[in-house]
Amino acid sequence: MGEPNIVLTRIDNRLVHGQVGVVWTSSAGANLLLVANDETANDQLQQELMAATAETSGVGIRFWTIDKTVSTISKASARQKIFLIIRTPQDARRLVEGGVPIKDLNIGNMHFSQGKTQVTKYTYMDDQDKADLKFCADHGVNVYVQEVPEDKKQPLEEVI
Amino acid sequence: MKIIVTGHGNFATGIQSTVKLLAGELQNVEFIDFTGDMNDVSLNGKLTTALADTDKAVFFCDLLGGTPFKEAVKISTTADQDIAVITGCNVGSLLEVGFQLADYAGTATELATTLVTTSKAQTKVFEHHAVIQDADEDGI
Repeated sequence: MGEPNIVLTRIDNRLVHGQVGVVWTSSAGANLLLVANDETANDQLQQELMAATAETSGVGIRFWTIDKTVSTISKASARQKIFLIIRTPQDARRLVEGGVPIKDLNIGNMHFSQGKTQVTKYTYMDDQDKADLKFCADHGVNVYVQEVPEDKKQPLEEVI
Repeated sequence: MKIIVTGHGNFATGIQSTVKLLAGELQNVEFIDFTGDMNDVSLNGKLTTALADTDKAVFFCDLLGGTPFKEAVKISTTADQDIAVITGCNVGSLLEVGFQLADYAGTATELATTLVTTSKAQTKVFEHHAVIQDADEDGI
């Protein structure tokens, strides 16, 4: 097996929702959504809700833990154009540390929670988030904030 | 290829606000309202103007038989461009093709058919069922 063809990786608190399922999948030209998230990998209802858009647009969908993603993604075939969707910078770092070849990391929605401060319109981060994203950037990943495909990409170093 | 969304009241600019939130500004999609202060002639003028910069277009109308639909069909029978007219399609179908318009190779009728097919697929009652995530034979 060669290197998996990951066309896009996106951090989005909501994982797959209407926007990600239709808009980003279409603009990235993906034919397989890979949701790498430990909770969702064991949550039937979340999987059903996220699979709904994938089913109507004819793309495949997988719900894997971070560990399984690290161990198994290299088995993808070349024609599988993978859109990798994760929830947090911590998971992004785990994937990069595990050797998953992520080239572009799109930061979409990161909701506000206790201790996080606003970085851009739709992203709130704490120091750990910033450190994990910097780790990814330091390991050759192109990290940028972009809410919707027609927005301009804001490179990580310009926002934190 | 261009899609021109048109309908009664703020149907068009309402859909525009949805598209903007989800996808940003889509190139090659135009939104034209048919509001109470307009008539068929003024709407026809706006729809015709929207066609000036394209050779292929789909009119995405709100209601079968309504004035926006009728004016779109009238224009399609006389204009030099390749034009198709659809009604009753949803915002999901628009989002699915919205990024492929600039280099769309097919005809207006082919794009129109895709919009209708996608709209039908997304018009549904949600039913619980097990999620299928079988690995491909030579992939994941």
